Amino acid sequence: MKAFFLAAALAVLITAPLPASGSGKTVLLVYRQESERQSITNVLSACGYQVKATAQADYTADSLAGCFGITTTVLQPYVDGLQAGIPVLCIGPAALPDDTIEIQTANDLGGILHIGNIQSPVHFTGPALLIKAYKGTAVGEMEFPLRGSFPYGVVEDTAAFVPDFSPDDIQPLALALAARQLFHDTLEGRLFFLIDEVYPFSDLGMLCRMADELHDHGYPFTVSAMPVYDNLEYPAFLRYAQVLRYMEYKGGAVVMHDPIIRAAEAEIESTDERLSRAREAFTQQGIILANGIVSPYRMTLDGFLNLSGRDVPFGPLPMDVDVVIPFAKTPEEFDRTLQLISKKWVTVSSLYKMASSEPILYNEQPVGSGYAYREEVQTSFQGFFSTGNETLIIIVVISLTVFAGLLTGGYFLYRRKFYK
Amino acid sequence: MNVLDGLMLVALCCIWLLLLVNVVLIVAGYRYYLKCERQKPPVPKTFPMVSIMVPAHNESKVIVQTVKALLSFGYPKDRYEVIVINDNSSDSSAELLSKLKEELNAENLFIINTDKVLGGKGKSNALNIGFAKCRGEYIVIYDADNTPEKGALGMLVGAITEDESLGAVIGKFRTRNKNASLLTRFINIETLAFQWMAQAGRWHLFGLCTIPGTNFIIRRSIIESIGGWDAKAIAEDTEISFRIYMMGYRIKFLPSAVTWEQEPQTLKVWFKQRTRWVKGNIYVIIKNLPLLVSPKAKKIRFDILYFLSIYFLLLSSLIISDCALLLYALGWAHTTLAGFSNMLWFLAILLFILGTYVTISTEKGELNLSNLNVIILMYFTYSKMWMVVAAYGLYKYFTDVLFHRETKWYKTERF
Repeated sequence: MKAFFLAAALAVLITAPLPASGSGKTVLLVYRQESERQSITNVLSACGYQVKATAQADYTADSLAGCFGITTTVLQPYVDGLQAGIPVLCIGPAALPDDTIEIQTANDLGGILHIGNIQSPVHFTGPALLIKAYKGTAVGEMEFPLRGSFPYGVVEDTAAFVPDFSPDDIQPLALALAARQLFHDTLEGRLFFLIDEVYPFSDLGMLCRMADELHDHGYPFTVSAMPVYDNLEYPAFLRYAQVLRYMEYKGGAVVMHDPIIRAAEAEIESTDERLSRAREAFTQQGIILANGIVSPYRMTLDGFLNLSGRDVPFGPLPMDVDVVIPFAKTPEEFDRTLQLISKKWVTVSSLYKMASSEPILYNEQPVGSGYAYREEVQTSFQGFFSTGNETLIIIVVISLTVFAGLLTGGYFLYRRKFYK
Repeated sequence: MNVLDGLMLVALCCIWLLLLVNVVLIVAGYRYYLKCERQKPPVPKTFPMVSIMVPAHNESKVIVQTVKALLSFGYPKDRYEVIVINDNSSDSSAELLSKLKEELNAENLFIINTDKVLGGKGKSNALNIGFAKCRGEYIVIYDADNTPEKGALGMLVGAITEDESLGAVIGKFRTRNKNASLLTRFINIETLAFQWMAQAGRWHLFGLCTIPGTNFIIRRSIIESIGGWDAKAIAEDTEISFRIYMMGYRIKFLPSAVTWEQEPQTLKVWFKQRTRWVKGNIYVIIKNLPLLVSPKAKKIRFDILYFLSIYFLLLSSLIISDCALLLYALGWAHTTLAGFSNMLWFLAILLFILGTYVTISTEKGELNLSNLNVIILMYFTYSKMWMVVAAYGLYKYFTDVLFHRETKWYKTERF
């Protein structure tokens, strides 16, 4: 039995996860609010679907053209989809038809949400809609102490129903599972580690250390690098590019972060032109940009650490997930983060390998000494002067206060003595 | 860390140590001021015979005014004598003094005219000559440019007669010509700050003062026992102060006994005067250096250390730190010292300014905004000038010693 489980574990570890095979399929999303559009699009994209988002006000039956599936937070697309034979995922109470599932409401619930071999605490602060009765297959299971268990969603033939969704906890994973089951997709998503928002003036030394540590622990990773549009010949950018090449050398993929452009800048030059220039700059520096290959769902490190499974390792994930690793301020902080991650027994996918099959050779000299920042001069007697500075300031301030007191009292004495 | 850094570190520690010592002295001095305000000035219960000596060399511009003031003391005329030692003067001092004696019919005025054989060897020598003629139980010294207040003599006598532990009592000197130039304004503030900080502060804390060379009273017996003034000492006042301490006496500071004196009005005169003072004080310090380890000199160790630290430690520290800063600024040297913050240095300057202002706030007509501005200006100018004169005085002293040059008395030019 032991050998069986060991073999099974080994099989899981060394088997490359199958890609999220939703890529290329277009799913229509009909939404009421922008927040719904954003959160549901993120989930569907992470499942590999192309999302065609339409606001409720703009929706017509013609919107269904070319879509192989529908996700909706309103009722009408459900009716139209059913007629057209297109699978429909209904999210939220407004999209639930009357004759499908029976709902009950409960307030302030806290429990565990199980999605296959993944579980995590879940908490509903406001009223939660729970599926009391249903037909079809349950998707996920919510377990509340004193209340019992309820499915998170239900798949019935060509429709799926998720009465309550918010992008909190691991509900996006549950929604992704519902989508996959409805659209009959293979179930495995991929896990990526992401270091987000790296700037030319970030602590690049620390970044290199993080890359070294992740590489030594066998974790591929992704670096989301802020684009640079100007001063591309300056040492700062050259050094930045060199570090990004080092990231690739250490098994990291580089994606260009979405630009942050002020309105005034957009008036001078279009965003597309700036991005094109930035992309060109990275490419000329030999950096392989891995944008557009996957669109993982972003998960915080804390959210990831809250995931657990009935078995070790937990998984598989129903959609691609980017776990955002915070930029460490100190090596000790990053060591602690790695220790926590290591306890999870996960397999991390390499975005770099998806982007390029070419191995990176790195044999570079640091950007020229003439361009090097002047290192902070090592100062001596730092502690002595630091303590002395504080002590003397206190003494001087007290002395000044005493002098001010003497002057104040002395002024009245002076007037009394000389000007009576 | 290199050698310059090491020197700089020591210099910074010395500068700050002395700054803090001076803060303590300022507060102590002010406390003494408040104490004096609560007490009445001493009044003599008896009128012992007092000999007032005035050494003068080419003092025709000021001597008449001085002698008139001395003859106007509110002290019984038959109980004091004024002895003017007209020391090898080449001006009209002798004629003026003779005429003055005749005009005022001053029976208690005695004039000793010396020539270059007997005199012309400096203030100490002149005092010794005058001392030989003195009849008084107490000796009072005034410089030739002084105009003491009417009650000064009585207060000095009152103070020394009421306390047997006192070997001498010093009064306060003010600047008569303080508004003559910016320099005299600097000097006015400097002298007040020195007296209320260093003199009053040390007296209040340690029972120590240094004789300022004028406006002081001393027991005749002390002069006799030490054999008079040291003719080699050009800072005879500091020299005699140490001798008084060693005899177990104290020197008291009596701010109510005031004299007004003329200070140098030009930089050249000032520079020469201060160089003499520096040389003189260095002579005295070095001469008395062995007392640092003498058990008999426990009382005056602070004073020796204080003068040592001012003339050697502080001076060298300031020179080192200024030179180092200049070298760093020019890029000819590099420092690895972390250094104090700019905020601290700013506060230190503020401390100097406010501390000095506290010391002059005790005097009528000095607590004003104009003086505050002068103090601020002093920090950046006069203080630096002091450094130069102190360094020059130190250099002159050692070269005189090295080349066995005779110490020459420089007489301060009058205006």
